[in-house]
Amino acid sequence: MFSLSQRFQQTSNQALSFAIFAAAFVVATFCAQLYQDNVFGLSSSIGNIQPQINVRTSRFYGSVNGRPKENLKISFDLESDLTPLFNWNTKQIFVYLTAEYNGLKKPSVKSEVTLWDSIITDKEGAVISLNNAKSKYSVWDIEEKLSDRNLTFKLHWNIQPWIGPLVYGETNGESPVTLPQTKPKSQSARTSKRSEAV
Amino acid sequence: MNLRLELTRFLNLCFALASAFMFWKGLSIVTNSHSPIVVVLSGSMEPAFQRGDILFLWNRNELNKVGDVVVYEVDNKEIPIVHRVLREHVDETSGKQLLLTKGDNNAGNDIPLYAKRKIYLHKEKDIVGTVKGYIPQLGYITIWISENKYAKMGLMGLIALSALLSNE
Amino acid sequence: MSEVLQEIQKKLVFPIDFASQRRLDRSVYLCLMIGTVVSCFIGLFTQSLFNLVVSFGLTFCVCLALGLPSYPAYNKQRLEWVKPKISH
Repeated sequence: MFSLSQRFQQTSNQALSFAIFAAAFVVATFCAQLYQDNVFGLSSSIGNIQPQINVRTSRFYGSVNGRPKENLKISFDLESDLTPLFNWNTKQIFVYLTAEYNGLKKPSVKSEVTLWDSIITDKEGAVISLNNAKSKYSVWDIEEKLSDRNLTFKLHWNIQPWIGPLVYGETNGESPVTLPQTKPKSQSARTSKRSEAV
Repeated sequence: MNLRLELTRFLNLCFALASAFMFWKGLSIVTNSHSPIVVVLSGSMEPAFQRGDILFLWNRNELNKVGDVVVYEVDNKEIPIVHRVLREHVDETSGKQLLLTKGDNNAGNDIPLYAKRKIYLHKEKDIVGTVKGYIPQLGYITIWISENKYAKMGLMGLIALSALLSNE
Repeated sequence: MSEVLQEIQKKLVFPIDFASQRRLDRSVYLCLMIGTVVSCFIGLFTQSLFNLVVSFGLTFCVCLALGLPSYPAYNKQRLEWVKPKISH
């Protein structure tokens, strides 16, 4: 501690150690608060799922070498209350609605696709209540056809903290939906869907 | 100019550099990733990750789940990209997983960024690691140094000055 | 060249005497510890991470202001070097 540079180095090193301690304290209270609020048992209700299947042939809709690929879009209702996820270390919450299903030609292939997601940045926006919302993404599978599958819809969340580990979780309340079989000609499938909707 | 003294000081410098290198490589082995700590360079994941955040990666998971934030490299481009997994398809018998990613701040998914004619990423080949935790804004110094040429010269000058003026 | 460098080195030392080095060491450590704990609790009770960072930064600045400049009060005890005796 004799010279100026030694004093500066000593003080800075000690301050760095204490800063790391403070960061660990923040992360510890963050995790403790999450467990106290029982965030891993949040529930959601997903309902009124209306699927719509279109056939596309562009690479940006999943088509390989120009072969037609079935794309899925849905409209859905969603109710969930995610306010326990917000505390002093939460920067934002990323919620996403996924559908899980198995392959048809190869039943050992498991897939999960995201149909809708949203970013929530403060506590006021944490109560989600959507009616007839449209899915954000047009989803395709590795196989060419998506029809006649059993999909299970779930709502997931991901907390982005200010410092520390990312926390993932799933809400209770899954919703199974079976996609209808499409007729061999895609034109008649679309017209028959329109008549069903009316 | 005492040659032995200067060589001893140079050896101390080499010790410091070698231990930093050992720490980096040891961390690469533990996390099974060739680049276990990355700095966010683009704004495509805002507001989650800003430019200059430091991310800690982990690559010992066999499969990725939808919603994981992954860092991947496309074959011919050397800049790693940090985006979120949108879709995954896994074949349980062979263990191979195909992923589609998208940045939170981008309008569409990453297919325009992938290699020609590819529409999925392969988990074993392309993924560098999954983000497990992060520290905000600490890495902005590295971005500033690499992008601003005055900062680079200033830092070199500062290091040289402190090496000349120090007693050890 | 090396003489000039050594002169600059000597000027930049800003020494303080040994008793105050011990005291300074202890008081900087205490100041940082109390400052960290207080800023952690300030942040926790106001539920704002920004407050924690600001109060920790203030603590660090206070410690630097306390320790870096060599105040005259730190130099009170001059060292008594033993005078060399020349014996015939």
